[in-house]
Amino acid sequence: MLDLHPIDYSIILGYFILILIVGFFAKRKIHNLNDYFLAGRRLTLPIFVATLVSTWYGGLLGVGELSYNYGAVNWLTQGFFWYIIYLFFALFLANRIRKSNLTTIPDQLEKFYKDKKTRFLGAIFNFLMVTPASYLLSIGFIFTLLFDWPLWIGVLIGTLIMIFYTLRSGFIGVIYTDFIQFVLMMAGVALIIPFAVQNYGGWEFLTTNLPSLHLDITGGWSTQMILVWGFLAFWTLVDPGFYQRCYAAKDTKIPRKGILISIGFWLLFDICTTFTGLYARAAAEAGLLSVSSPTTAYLDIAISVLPIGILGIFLTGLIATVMSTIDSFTFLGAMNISHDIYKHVFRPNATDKQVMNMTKIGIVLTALFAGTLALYFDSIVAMWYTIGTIGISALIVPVLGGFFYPGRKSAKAALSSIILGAAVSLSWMIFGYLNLDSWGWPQYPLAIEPLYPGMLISLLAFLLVSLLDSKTMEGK
Amino acid sequence: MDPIILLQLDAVILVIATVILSYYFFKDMIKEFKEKK
Repeated sequence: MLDLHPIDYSIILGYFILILIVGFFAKRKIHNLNDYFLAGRRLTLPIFVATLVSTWYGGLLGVGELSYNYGAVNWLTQGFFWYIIYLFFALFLANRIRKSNLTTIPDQLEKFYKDKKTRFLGAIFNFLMVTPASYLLSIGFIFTLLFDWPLWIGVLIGTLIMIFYTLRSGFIGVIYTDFIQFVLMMAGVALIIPFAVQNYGGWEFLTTNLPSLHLDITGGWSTQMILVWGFLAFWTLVDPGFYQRCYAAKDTKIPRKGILISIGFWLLFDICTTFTGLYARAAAEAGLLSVSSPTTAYLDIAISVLPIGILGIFLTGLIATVMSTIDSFTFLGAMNISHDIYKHVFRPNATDKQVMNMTKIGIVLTALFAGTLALYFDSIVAMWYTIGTIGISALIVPVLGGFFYPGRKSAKAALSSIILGAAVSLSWMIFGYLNLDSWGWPQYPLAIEPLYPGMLISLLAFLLVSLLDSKTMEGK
Repeated sequence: MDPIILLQLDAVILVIATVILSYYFFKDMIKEFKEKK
Protein backbone atom coordinates (compact mmCIF):
# COMPACT_ATOMS: atom_id res chain seq x y z
CA MET A 1 0.00 0.00 0.00
CA LEU A 2 1.17 3.52 -0.78
CA ASP A 3 1.74 5.83 2.14
CA LEU A 4 0.03 8.93 0.79
CA HIS A 5 -0.39 12.28 2.48
CA PRO A 6 -3.97 13.07 3.58
CA ILE A 7 -4.06 15.90 1.00
CA ASP A 8 -3.49 13.38 -1.80
CA TYR A 9 -6.19 11.09 -0.41
CA SER A 10 -8.54 14.08 -0.16
CA ILE A 11 -7.98 14.91 -3.84
CA ILE A 12 -8.81 11.32 -4.83
CA LEU A 13 -11.89 11.32 -2.60
CA GLY A 14 -12.91 14.72 -3.98
CA TYR A 15 -12.75 13.33 -7.51
CA PHE A 16 -15.13 10.50 -6.68
CA ILE A 17 -17.55 12.84 -4.93
CA LEU A 18 -17.43 15.22 -7.90
CA ILE A 19 -18.19 12.57 -10.53
CA LEU A 20 -21.01 11.20 -8.38
CA ILE A 21 -22.53 14.69 -8.02
CA VAL A 22 -22.16 15.46 -11.74
CA GLY A 23 -23.57 12.06 -12.66
CA PHE A 24 -26.47 12.59 -10.26
CA PHE A 25 -27.47 16.00 -11.59
CA ALA A 26 -26.86 15.19 -15.27
CA LYS A 27 -30.15 13.25 -15.15
CA ARG A 28 -32.00 16.57 -15.31
CA LYS A 29 -31.02 16.84 -18.96
CA ILE A 30 -32.74 13.58 -19.89
CA HIS A 31 -36.19 13.95 -21.41
CA ASN A 32 -36.31 11.06 -23.87
CA LEU A 33 -34.45 8.00 -25.16
CA ASN A 34 -32.39 10.07 -27.58
CA ASP A 35 -31.08 12.10 -24.62
CA TYR A 36 -30.26 8.92 -22.72
CA PHE A 37 -28.47 7.24 -25.64
CA LEU A 38 -26.80 10.13 -27.44
CA ALA A 39 -27.16 13.18 -25.18
CA GLY A 40 -29.88 14.40 -27.56
CA ARG A 41 -27.26 14.63 -30.38
CA ARG A 42 -26.11 17.90 -28.84
CA LEU A 43 -22.37 17.29 -28.34
CA THR A 44 -20.49 20.51 -28.98
CA LEU A 45 -16.88 20.52 -30.15
CA PRO A 46 -15.19 20.81 -26.70
CA ILE A 47 -17.20 18.01 -25.10
CA PHE A 48 -16.82 15.84 -28.23
CA VAL A 49 -13.03 16.15 -27.97
CA ALA A 50 -12.95 15.61 -24.19
CA THR A 51 -15.10 12.47 -24.23
CA LEU A 52 -13.33 10.96 -27.25
CA VAL A 53 -9.82 11.58 -25.94
CA SER A 54 -10.55 10.37 -22.40
CA THR A 55 -12.46 7.25 -23.43
CA TRP A 56 -9.79 6.20 -25.89
CA TYR A 57 -7.12 5.75 -23.23
CA GLY A 58 -7.87 2.81 -20.96
CA GLY A 59 -4.83 3.08 -18.72
CA LEU A 60 -1.47 4.72 -18.21
CA LEU A 61 0.35 1.83 -16.56
CA GLY A 62 0.35 -0.30 -19.74
CA VAL A 63 1.79 2.51 -21.87
CA GLY A 64 4.35 3.25 -19.16
CA GLU A 65 5.33 -0.43 -19.13
CA LEU A 66 5.84 -0.55 -22.92
CA SER A 67 7.89 2.61 -22.88
CA TYR A 68 9.94 1.38 -19.91
CA ASN A 69 10.63 -1.97 -21.60
CA TYR A 70 11.04 -0.99 -25.24
CA GLY A 71 11.61 2.78 -25.36
CA ALA A 72 10.57 5.22 -28.07
CA VAL A 73 9.25 2.48 -30.36
CA ASN A 74 6.24 2.57 -28.03
CA TRP A 75 5.32 5.93 -29.58
CA LEU A 76 5.71 4.56 -33.10
CA THR A 77 3.47 1.53 -32.54
CA GLN A 78 1.01 2.98 -30.02
CA GLY A 79 0.90 6.49 -31.42
CA PHE A 80 2.06 7.19 -34.94
CA PHE A 81 0.15 4.41 -36.73
CA TRP A 82 -2.98 5.26 -34.80
CA TYR A 83 -2.81 8.94 -35.83
CA ILE A 84 -2.84 7.86 -39.49
CA ILE A 85 -5.97 5.77 -38.95
CA TYR A 86 -7.62 8.56 -36.90
CA LEU A 87 -6.88 10.89 -39.79
CA PHE A 88 -8.48 8.47 -42.25
CA PHE A 89 -11.50 8.20 -39.94
CA ALA A 90 -11.77 11.98 -39.67
CA LEU A 91 -11.48 12.62 -43.39
CA PHE A 92 -13.52 9.78 -44.85
CA LEU A 93 -15.90 8.44 -42.20
CA ALA A 94 -16.67 10.87 -39.38
CA ASN A 95 -19.06 13.26 -41.09
CA ARG A 96 -20.74 10.46 -43.07
CA ILE A 97 -21.44 8.62 -39.84
CA ARG A 98 -23.06 11.71 -38.32
CA LYS A 99 -25.11 12.35 -41.46
CA SER A 100 -26.56 8.82 -41.27
CA ASN A 101 -28.36 9.89 -38.06
CA LEU A 102 -28.17 6.35 -36.65
CA THR A 103 -27.26 5.17 -33.14
CA THR A 104 -24.89 2.18 -33.28
CA ILE A 105 -22.63 0.20 -35.65
CA PRO A 106 -25.24 -2.62 -35.92
CA ASP A 107 -27.72 0.07 -37.07
CA GLN A 108 -25.23 0.97 -39.72
CA LEU A 109 -24.91 -2.68 -40.79
CA GLU A 110 -28.69 -3.12 -41.05
CA LYS A 111 -28.99 0.07 -43.06
CA PHE A 112 -26.30 -1.07 -45.51
CA TYR A 113 -27.40 -4.68 -45.93
CA LYS A 114 -31.10 -4.56 -44.96
CA ASP A 115 -30.71 -7.69 -42.88
CA LYS A 116 -31.48 -8.40 -39.21
CA LYS A 117 -29.02 -11.30 -38.93
CA THR A 118 -26.15 -8.98 -39.88
CA ARG A 119 -27.31 -6.54 -37.20
CA PHE A 120 -27.54 -9.32 -34.62
CA LEU A 121 -24.03 -10.62 -35.30
CA GLY A 122 -22.73 -7.06 -35.39
CA ALA A 123 -24.20 -6.48 -31.92
CA ILE A 124 -22.62 -9.65 -30.51
CA PHE A 125 -19.13 -8.77 -31.80
CA ASN A 126 -19.51 -5.17 -30.69
CA PHE A 127 -20.40 -6.42 -27.23
CA LEU A 128 -17.24 -8.54 -27.13
CA MET A 129 -15.16 -5.51 -28.12
CA VAL A 130 -16.51 -3.28 -25.37
CA THR A 131 -16.69 -5.68 -22.42
CA PRO A 132 -14.56 -3.76 -19.91
CA ALA A 133 -13.19 -6.75 -17.94
CA SER A 134 -9.52 -5.77 -18.16
CA TYR A 135 -10.32 -2.18 -17.19
CA LEU A 136 -12.28 -3.31 -14.13
CA LEU A 137 -9.29 -5.42 -13.16
CA SER A 138 -7.04 -2.35 -13.60
CA ILE A 139 -9.21 -0.21 -11.34
CA GLY A 140 -9.19 -3.04 -8.77
CA PHE A 141 -5.37 -3.11 -8.85
CA ILE A 142 -5.14 0.67 -8.49
CA PHE A 143 -7.44 0.60 -5.45
CA THR A 144 -5.43 -2.25 -3.97
CA LEU A 145 -2.26 -0.18 -4.35
CA LEU A 146 -3.80 3.00 -2.98
CA PHE A 147 -5.96 1.71 -0.16
CA ASP A 148 -4.74 -1.85 0.45
CA TRP A 149 -8.22 -3.21 -0.26
CA PRO A 150 -8.66 -6.79 -1.47
CA LEU A 151 -8.92 -6.88 -5.26
CA TRP A 152 -12.59 -7.81 -5.30
CA ILE A 153 -13.52 -4.80 -3.16
CA GLY A 154 -11.64 -2.50 -5.53
CA VAL A 155 -13.41 -4.00 -8.56
CA LEU A 156 -16.77 -3.86 -6.77
CA ILE A 157 -16.45 -0.23 -5.65
CA GLY A 158 -15.20 0.93 -9.07
CA THR A 159 -18.13 -0.90 -10.68
CA LEU A 160 -20.73 0.47 -8.27
CA ILE A 161 -19.60 4.09 -8.71
CA MET A 162 -19.68 3.72 -12.49
CA ILE A 163 -23.07 1.97 -12.43
CA PHE A 164 -24.54 4.73 -10.25
CA TYR A 165 -24.00 7.60 -12.65
CA THR A 166 -24.18 5.66 -15.91
CA LEU A 167 -27.47 4.02 -14.98
CA ARG A 168 -28.96 7.26 -13.72
CA SER A 169 -27.84 9.67 -16.44
CA GLY A 170 -26.96 7.49 -19.44
CA PHE A 171 -24.67 8.98 -22.07
CA ILE A 172 -25.11 12.50 -20.61
CA GLY A 173 -23.64 11.25 -17.32
CA VAL A 174 -20.83 9.56 -19.25
CA ILE A 175 -19.82 12.65 -21.22
CA TYR A 176 -19.93 15.12 -18.33
CA THR A 177 -17.91 12.86 -16.06
CA ASP A 178 -15.59 12.25 -19.04
CA PHE A 179 -14.93 15.97 -19.17
CA ILE A 180 -13.73 16.03 -15.57
CA GLN A 181 -11.70 12.91 -16.22
CA PHE A 182 -10.17 14.42 -19.36
CA VAL A 183 -8.90 17.49 -17.46
CA LEU A 184 -7.41 15.31 -14.71
CA MET A 185 -5.74 12.96 -17.21
CA MET A 186 -4.12 15.80 -19.14
CA ALA A 187 -2.98 17.54 -15.95
CA GLY A 188 -1.63 14.30 -14.48
CA VAL A 189 0.57 13.33 -17.44
CA ALA A 190 1.76 16.89 -18.15
CA LEU A 191 2.71 17.73 -14.55
CA ILE A 192 5.07 14.80 -14.15
CA ILE A 193 7.39 16.01 -16.96
CA PRO A 194 8.89 19.15 -15.35
CA PHE A 195 9.36 17.30 -12.06
CA ALA A 196 11.13 14.39 -13.79
CA VAL A 197 13.46 16.81 -15.61
CA GLN A 198 14.12 18.77 -12.41
CA ASN A 199 14.85 15.60 -10.39
CA TYR A 200 16.96 13.66 -12.84
CA GLY A 201 18.31 16.04 -15.46
CA GLY A 202 17.93 16.69 -19.17
CA TRP A 203 18.73 14.92 -22.43
CA GLU A 204 22.20 13.90 -21.30
CA PHE A 205 20.73 12.00 -18.35
CA LEU A 206 18.58 9.98 -20.74
CA THR A 207 21.31 9.31 -23.31
CA THR A 208 23.76 8.26 -20.59
CA ASN A 209 21.49 5.90 -18.70
CA LEU A 210 19.02 4.39 -21.17
CA PRO A 211 19.73 1.09 -22.94
CA SER A 212 21.23 1.85 -26.36
CA LEU A 213 18.09 1.27 -28.46
CA HIS A 214 15.59 3.00 -26.17
CA LEU A 215 15.90 6.34 -27.96
CA ASP A 216 15.88 4.71 -31.39
CA ILE A 217 12.40 5.21 -32.88
CA THR A 218 12.38 1.62 -34.19
CA GLY A 219 13.82 0.18 -30.95
CA GLY A 220 15.74 -2.30 -33.10
CA TRP A 221 12.46 -4.04 -33.98
CA SER A 222 12.02 -5.62 -37.40
CA THR A 223 9.75 -3.82 -39.88
CA GLN A 224 7.35 -6.78 -39.78
CA MET A 225 7.05 -6.60 -36.00
CA ILE A 226 6.45 -2.85 -36.10
CA LEU A 227 3.76 -3.29 -38.75
CA VAL A 228 2.11 -6.16 -36.86
CA TRP A 229 1.80 -3.93 -33.78
CA GLY A 230 1.07 -0.76 -35.70
CA PHE A 231 -1.78 -2.17 -37.76
CA LEU A 232 -3.70 -2.97 -34.59
CA ALA A 233 -4.75 0.64 -35.09
CA PHE A 234 -7.39 -0.72 -37.51
CA TRP A 235 -9.41 -1.18 -34.32
CA THR A 236 -10.33 2.51 -34.62
CA LEU A 237 -12.30 1.95 -37.83
CA VAL A 238 -14.90 -0.17 -36.01
CA ASP A 239 -14.56 1.29 -32.53
CA PRO A 240 -18.08 1.67 -31.11
CA GLY A 241 -16.98 4.64 -28.96
CA PHE A 242 -15.83 6.60 -32.01
CA TYR A 243 -19.09 5.90 -33.82
CA GLN A 244 -21.26 6.75 -30.83
CA ARG A 245 -19.59 10.13 -30.39
CA CYS A 246 -19.94 10.90 -34.10
CA TYR A 247 -23.67 10.04 -33.97
CA ALA A 248 -24.07 12.26 -30.90
CA ALA A 249 -22.38 15.36 -32.36
CA LYS A 250 -24.44 18.54 -32.59
CA ASP A 251 -23.91 18.96 -36.33
CA THR A 252 -22.34 17.11 -39.24
CA LYS A 253 -19.07 19.06 -39.18
CA ILE A 254 -18.14 18.51 -35.52
CA PRO A 255 -16.96 14.87 -35.85
CA ARG A 256 -14.24 15.66 -38.41
CA LYS A 257 -13.04 18.79 -36.60
CA GLY A 258 -13.27 17.03 -33.25
CA ILE A 259 -11.16 14.05 -34.30
CA LEU A 260 -8.53 16.32 -35.88
CA ILE A 261 -8.26 18.30 -32.62
CA SER A 262 -8.21 15.03 -30.65
CA ILE A 263 -5.21 13.85 -32.70
CA GLY A 264 -3.36 16.92 -31.41
CA PHE A 265 -4.22 16.00 -27.81
CA TRP A 266 -3.24 12.36 -28.34
CA LEU A 267 0.08 13.41 -29.84
CA LEU A 268 0.96 15.74 -26.96
CA PHE A 269 -0.27 13.19 -24.40
CA ASP A 270 1.64 10.24 -25.95
CA ILE A 271 4.91 12.17 -26.01
CA CYS A 272 4.51 12.87 -22.28
CA THR A 273 3.69 9.25 -21.39
CA THR A 274 6.49 7.83 -23.55
CA PHE A 275 9.09 10.14 -22.02
CA THR A 276 7.86 9.44 -18.50
CA GLY A 277 8.44 5.73 -19.16
CA LEU A 278 11.90 6.58 -20.52
CA TYR A 279 12.74 8.67 -17.46
CA ALA A 280 11.61 5.81 -15.20
CA ARG A 281 13.90 3.39 -17.05
CA ALA A 282 16.88 5.77 -17.06
CA ALA A 283 16.44 6.54 -13.35
CA ALA A 284 16.16 2.82 -12.55
CA GLU A 285 19.31 2.05 -14.59
CA ALA A 286 21.14 4.85 -12.76
CA GLY A 287 20.09 3.39 -9.41
CA LEU A 288 18.05 6.51 -8.56
CA LEU A 289 14.61 4.87 -8.67
CA SER A 290 13.39 1.59 -7.28
CA VAL A 291 10.98 0.01 -9.76
CA SER A 292 9.12 -3.01 -8.38
CA SER A 293 7.98 -4.14 -11.85
CA PRO A 294 7.78 -2.56 -15.32
CA THR A 295 3.97 -2.53 -14.91
CA THR A 296 4.19 -0.08 -12.03
CA ALA A 297 7.15 1.94 -13.41
CA TYR A 298 4.88 4.90 -14.22
CA LEU A 299 3.48 4.90 -10.70
CA ASP A 300 6.92 4.47 -9.10
CA ILE A 301 8.40 7.50 -10.85
CA ALA A 302 5.34 9.61 -10.01
CA ILE A 303 5.60 8.74 -6.32
CA SER A 304 9.32 9.45 -6.39
CA VAL A 305 9.28 12.89 -8.07
CA LEU A 306 5.89 14.50 -7.41
CA PRO A 307 5.26 16.64 -4.32
CA ILE A 308 2.20 16.35 -2.09
CA GLY A 309 -0.92 17.58 -3.84
CA ILE A 310 0.48 17.18 -7.35
CA LEU A 311 0.81 13.45 -6.64
CA GLY A 312 -2.86 13.42 -5.67
CA ILE A 313 -3.77 15.05 -9.00
CA PHE A 314 -1.60 12.54 -10.88
CA LEU A 315 -3.14 9.55 -9.10
CA THR A 316 -6.61 10.92 -9.72
CA GLY A 317 -5.67 11.24 -13.41
CA LEU A 318 -4.54 7.62 -13.34
CA ILE A 319 -7.91 6.53 -11.93
CA ALA A 320 -9.82 8.86 -14.28
CA THR A 321 -8.12 7.32 -17.32
CA VAL A 322 -9.51 3.91 -16.44
CA MET A 323 -12.91 5.06 -15.17
CA SER A 324 -13.66 7.07 -18.33
CA THR A 325 -13.20 3.92 -20.41
CA ILE A 326 -15.15 1.65 -18.07
CA ASP A 327 -18.25 3.87 -18.07
CA SER A 328 -18.27 4.36 -21.85
CA PHE A 329 -17.68 0.70 -22.64
CA THR A 330 -20.32 -0.50 -20.18
CA PHE A 331 -22.84 1.89 -21.64
CA LEU A 332 -22.02 0.77 -25.18
CA GLY A 333 -22.44 -2.88 -24.15
CA ALA A 334 -25.81 -2.03 -22.62
CA MET A 335 -26.90 -0.34 -25.85
CA ASN A 336 -25.99 -3.49 -27.79
CA ILE A 337 -28.33 -5.41 -25.48
CA SER A 338 -31.23 -2.95 -25.42
CA HIS A 339 -31.17 -1.07 -28.71
CA ASP A 340 -29.59 -3.57 -31.09
CA ILE A 341 -30.91 -6.89 -29.80
CA TYR A 342 -33.97 -6.25 -27.61
CA LYS A 343 -35.56 -3.47 -29.65
CA HIS A 344 -34.44 -4.24 -33.19
CA VAL A 345 -34.39 -8.03 -33.17
CA PHE A 346 -36.89 -9.31 -30.58
CA ARG A 347 -39.28 -6.49 -29.62
CA PRO A 348 -39.73 -4.06 -32.53
CA ASN A 349 -42.78 -2.55 -30.81
CA ALA A 350 -41.02 -1.83 -27.53
CA THR A 351 -41.67 1.68 -26.25
CA ASP A 352 -38.87 4.14 -25.49
CA LYS A 353 -39.46 3.61 -21.79
CA GLN A 354 -39.09 -0.16 -22.13
CA VAL A 355 -35.88 0.28 -24.14
CA MET A 356 -34.52 2.70 -21.53
CA ASN A 357 -35.31 0.23 -18.74
CA MET A 358 -33.68 -2.56 -20.74
CA THR A 359 -30.59 -0.35 -21.14
CA LYS A 360 -30.42 0.03 -17.36
CA ILE A 361 -30.65 -3.75 -17.00
CA GLY A 362 -28.01 -3.99 -19.74
CA ILE A 363 -25.64 -1.73 -17.79
CA VAL A 364 -25.91 -4.01 -14.76
CA LEU A 365 -25.57 -7.17 -16.90
CA THR A 366 -22.52 -5.83 -18.78
CA ALA A 367 -20.88 -4.74 -15.53
CA LEU A 368 -21.66 -8.09 -13.88
CA PHE A 369 -20.31 -10.03 -16.86
CA ALA A 370 -17.13 -7.93 -16.99
CA GLY A 371 -16.69 -7.99 -13.20
CA THR A 372 -17.09 -11.76 -13.06
CA LEU A 373 -14.54 -12.21 -15.84
CA ALA A 374 -12.17 -9.83 -14.07
CA LEU A 375 -12.37 -11.54 -10.70
CA TYR A 376 -12.82 -15.22 -11.43
CA PHE A 377 -11.33 -15.75 -14.86
CA ASP A 378 -8.20 -13.61 -14.80
CA SER A 379 -6.54 -15.79 -17.43
CA ILE A 380 -9.46 -14.99 -19.75
CA VAL A 381 -8.96 -11.29 -19.08
CA ALA A 382 -5.42 -11.62 -20.44
CA MET A 383 -6.97 -13.04 -23.59
CA TRP A 384 -9.76 -10.51 -23.77
CA TYR A 385 -7.83 -8.06 -25.87
CA THR A 386 -7.32 -10.83 -28.43
CA ILE A 387 -11.00 -11.74 -28.20
CA GLY A 388 -11.74 -8.07 -28.88
CA THR A 389 -9.60 -8.23 -32.00
CA ILE A 390 -11.85 -11.07 -33.25
CA GLY A 391 -14.59 -8.45 -33.24
CA ILE A 392 -12.47 -6.28 -35.53
CA SER A 393 -11.77 -9.15 -37.91
CA ALA A 394 -15.49 -9.82 -38.08
CA LEU A 395 -16.72 -6.26 -38.50
CA ILE A 396 -14.15 -4.14 -40.28
CA VAL A 397 -14.82 -5.46 -43.79
CA PRO A 398 -18.63 -5.35 -43.76
CA VAL A 399 -18.64 -1.91 -42.11
CA LEU A 400 -16.10 -0.36 -44.47
CA GLY A 401 -17.66 -2.31 -47.36
CA GLY A 402 -20.95 -0.63 -46.50
CA PHE A 403 -19.35 2.81 -46.78
CA PHE A 404 -17.05 2.27 -49.75
CA TYR A 405 -17.98 -0.83 -51.79
CA PRO A 406 -19.36 0.54 -55.07
CA GLY A 407 -21.44 -2.50 -56.05
CA ARG A 408 -24.73 -3.83 -54.70
CA LYS A 409 -24.62 -4.36 -50.93
CA SER A 410 -25.16 -8.06 -50.39
CA ALA A 411 -26.40 -9.36 -47.03
CA LYS A 412 -24.95 -12.78 -47.84
CA ALA A 413 -21.54 -11.19 -48.45
CA ALA A 414 -21.73 -9.30 -45.14
CA LEU A 415 -22.74 -12.42 -43.20
CA SER A 416 -20.03 -14.55 -44.84
CA SER A 417 -17.35 -11.99 -44.10
CA ILE A 418 -18.47 -11.65 -40.45
CA ILE A 419 -18.66 -15.40 -39.83
CA LEU A 420 -15.50 -16.41 -41.72
CA GLY A 421 -13.45 -13.47 -40.41
CA ALA A 422 -14.39 -14.34 -36.82
CA ALA A 423 -13.93 -18.10 -37.33
CA VAL A 424 -10.43 -17.74 -38.77
CA SER A 425 -9.27 -15.31 -36.06
CA LEU A 426 -10.76 -17.50 -33.34
CA SER A 427 -9.08 -20.64 -34.71
CA TRP A 428 -5.80 -18.72 -34.97
CA MET A 429 -6.17 -17.57 -31.39
CA ILE A 430 -7.02 -21.05 -30.05
CA PHE A 431 -4.00 -22.50 -31.84
CA GLY A 432 -1.81 -19.82 -30.27
CA TYR A 433 -3.10 -20.41 -26.75
CA LEU A 434 -2.66 -24.17 -27.10
CA ASN A 435 1.01 -23.56 -27.97
CA LEU A 436 2.36 -21.19 -25.31
CA ASP A 437 6.07 -20.39 -25.24
CA SER A 438 8.23 -20.63 -22.14
CA TRP A 439 7.11 -17.09 -21.09
CA GLY A 440 3.47 -18.08 -21.34
CA TRP A 441 2.86 -16.07 -24.54
CA PRO A 442 0.72 -17.61 -27.32
CA GLN A 443 2.62 -18.81 -30.38
CA TYR A 444 0.42 -18.03 -33.38
CA PRO A 445 0.90 -19.76 -36.76
CA LEU A 446 3.52 -17.86 -38.82
CA ALA A 447 3.93 -15.59 -35.76
CA ILE A 448 1.03 -13.45 -37.04
CA GLU A 449 -1.63 -11.95 -34.73
CA PRO A 450 -5.15 -13.46 -35.21
CA LEU A 451 -6.45 -10.10 -36.45
CA TYR A 452 -4.68 -10.25 -39.81
CA PRO A 453 -5.65 -13.68 -41.20
CA GLY A 454 -9.19 -12.97 -39.98
CA MET A 455 -9.33 -9.65 -41.83
CA LEU A 456 -7.88 -11.15 -45.01
CA ILE A 457 -10.36 -14.03 -45.13
CA SER A 458 -13.19 -11.69 -44.26
CA LEU A 459 -12.23 -9.42 -47.18
CA LEU A 460 -11.94 -12.31 -49.63
CA ALA A 461 -15.30 -13.72 -48.51
CA PHE A 462 -16.95 -10.31 -48.86
CA LEU A 463 -15.63 -9.70 -52.37
CA LEU A 464 -16.26 -13.22 -53.64
CA VAL A 465 -19.80 -13.53 -52.28
CA SER A 466 -20.67 -9.99 -53.43
CA LEU A 467 -19.55 -10.91 -56.93
CA LEU A 468 -21.41 -14.23 -56.96
CA ASP A 469 -24.52 -12.66 -55.46
CA SER A 470 -24.63 -9.85 -58.01
CA LYS A 471 -24.23 -12.36 -60.87
CA THR A 472 -27.10 -14.43 -59.45
CA MET A 473 -29.25 -11.28 -59.29
CA GLU A 474 -28.36 -10.38 -62.89
CA GLY A 475 -29.26 -13.94 -63.98
CA LYS A 476 -32.70 -13.52 -62.42
CA MET B 1 17.58 22.79 -29.70
CA ASP B 2 17.70 20.61 -26.57
CA PRO B 3 15.00 17.91 -27.01
CA ILE B 4 14.10 18.25 -23.33
CA ILE B 5 13.05 21.87 -23.89
CA LEU B 6 10.74 20.59 -26.63
CA LEU B 7 9.43 17.93 -24.25
CA GLN B 8 8.67 20.55 -21.59
CA LEU B 9 7.07 22.72 -24.25
CA ASP B 10 4.91 19.72 -25.22
CA ALA B 11 3.71 19.40 -21.60
CA VAL B 12 3.01 23.16 -21.39
CA ILE B 13 1.05 23.14 -24.69
CA LEU B 14 -0.97 20.17 -23.42
CA VAL B 15 -1.96 22.12 -20.30
CA ILE B 16 -2.75 25.30 -22.26
CA ALA B 17 -4.82 23.34 -24.82
CA THR B 18 -6.75 21.70 -21.97
CA VAL B 19 -7.44 25.11 -20.41
CA ILE B 20 -8.63 26.51 -23.76
CA LEU B 21 -10.91 23.51 -24.34
CA SER B 22 -12.31 23.88 -20.81
CA TYR B 23 -12.95 27.59 -21.44
CA TYR B 24 -15.02 26.81 -24.56
CA PHE B 25 -16.80 23.98 -22.76
CA PHE B 26 -17.96 26.29 -19.98
CA LYS B 27 -18.79 29.05 -22.48
CA ASP B 28 -21.07 26.62 -24.32
CA MET B 29 -22.65 25.52 -21.05
CA ILE B 30 -23.36 29.10 -19.96
CA LYS B 31 -24.80 29.88 -23.40
CA GLU B 32 -27.08 26.85 -23.21
CA PHE B 33 -28.15 27.80 -19.68
CA LYS B 34 -29.01 31.36 -20.77
CA GLU B 35 -30.97 30.11 -23.79
CA LYS B 36 -33.06 27.87 -21.54
CA LYS B 37 -33.82 30.75 -19.19
